[in-house]
Amino acid sequence: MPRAGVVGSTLPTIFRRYYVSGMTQALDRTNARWINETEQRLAEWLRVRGSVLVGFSGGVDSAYLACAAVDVLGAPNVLAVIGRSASYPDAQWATARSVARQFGVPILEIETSELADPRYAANPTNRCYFCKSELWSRLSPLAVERGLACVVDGTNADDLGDYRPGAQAAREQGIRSPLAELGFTKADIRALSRARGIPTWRQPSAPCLSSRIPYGTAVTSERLRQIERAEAALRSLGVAGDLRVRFHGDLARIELPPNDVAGWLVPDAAAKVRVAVIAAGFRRVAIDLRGFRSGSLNVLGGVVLDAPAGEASEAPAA
Amino acid sequence: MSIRSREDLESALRGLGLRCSVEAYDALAVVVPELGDRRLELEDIRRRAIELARAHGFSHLAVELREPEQPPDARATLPRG
Repeated sequence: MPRAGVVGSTLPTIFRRYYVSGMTQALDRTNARWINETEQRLAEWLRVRGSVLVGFSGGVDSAYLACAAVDVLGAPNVLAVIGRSASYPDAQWATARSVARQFGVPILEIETSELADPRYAANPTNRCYFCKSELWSRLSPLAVERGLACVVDGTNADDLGDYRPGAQAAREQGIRSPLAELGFTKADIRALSRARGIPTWRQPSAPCLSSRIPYGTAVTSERLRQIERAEAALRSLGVAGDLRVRFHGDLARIELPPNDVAGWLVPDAAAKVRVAVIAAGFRRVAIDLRGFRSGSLNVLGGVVLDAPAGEASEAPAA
Repeated sequence: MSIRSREDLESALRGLGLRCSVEAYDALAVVVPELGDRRLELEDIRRRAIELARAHGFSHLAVELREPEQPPDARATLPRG
């Protein structure tokens, strides 16, 4: 089966147009046959391994993978491990535990200490490498100890095109990424999660809190808590969808869903935002006029090139 | 590649009719509007401001939410009596 080339992945519906063998066809992710065939590919991959340890954050991807693994292999052959640290939001932790409870996923929580690593805390552009090295170096021996055949993560096919230094750590530790290996995109995983009734299917992406701090600015527990408080306060004001509070010293720069920016600039709403974020520990508050951009600080840090509003940023040519 | 200039961006934004100053933090420009200036609530103005920021070398443009000025009669006064 040839891989299909995406020719219109920005369509805002669950339909996407693929160019396959010279013909254009619509992909309907609600189609039962597509769901069944796609899940069968994952099931076959998992059955070959027989048992897995899942790096489990409670995000869209790892939640789906853990639930599917339990369904295919049975709970005794699956262990989902949550690595807790200051960079892991409490809200995400609650989601992870809730999904595990609902779908019978066995979990184990361990404390990770990436902030104790000065190479991580200094916040270089490859910060994620040191975090993932810490995590996977803990999980690989655990899998051996528990007799689980391999360690897997929720990396998906879309992630492969992003700047992700953490992926190098995974490769070095022999971590497998079945969703990416099978070509599952984020949209695929959301649709498959929805079909299974996993509540994370419509959850915004939730990278670790350190991703709010510009490269070169030290990551500290205090700063992470400040960011977490600010984001929680904004959620309680009714901010929905993608949200990031970016740390710029005294200034919080808030990224909101682009279509919501105008509404939060209206004086009454803006005043509430300002009060909430200042109460979280910032002295000044600003709203980014372009709104949320995935990897925004990669652009600010010069890791990827800026792109005009409404277009994806690109990796630099060299 | 445009040369990043806070002063030029501030001047260009004033040319849009915005009453503001601009602060720069590397490739982030922060617009500090004068109190009462609400022009950035307009989509067209925001779009043009973003284009100007890019043209002047800034990948990010944000607007500071300023503390509203209290009207004179809302300021604390000593109770009489």
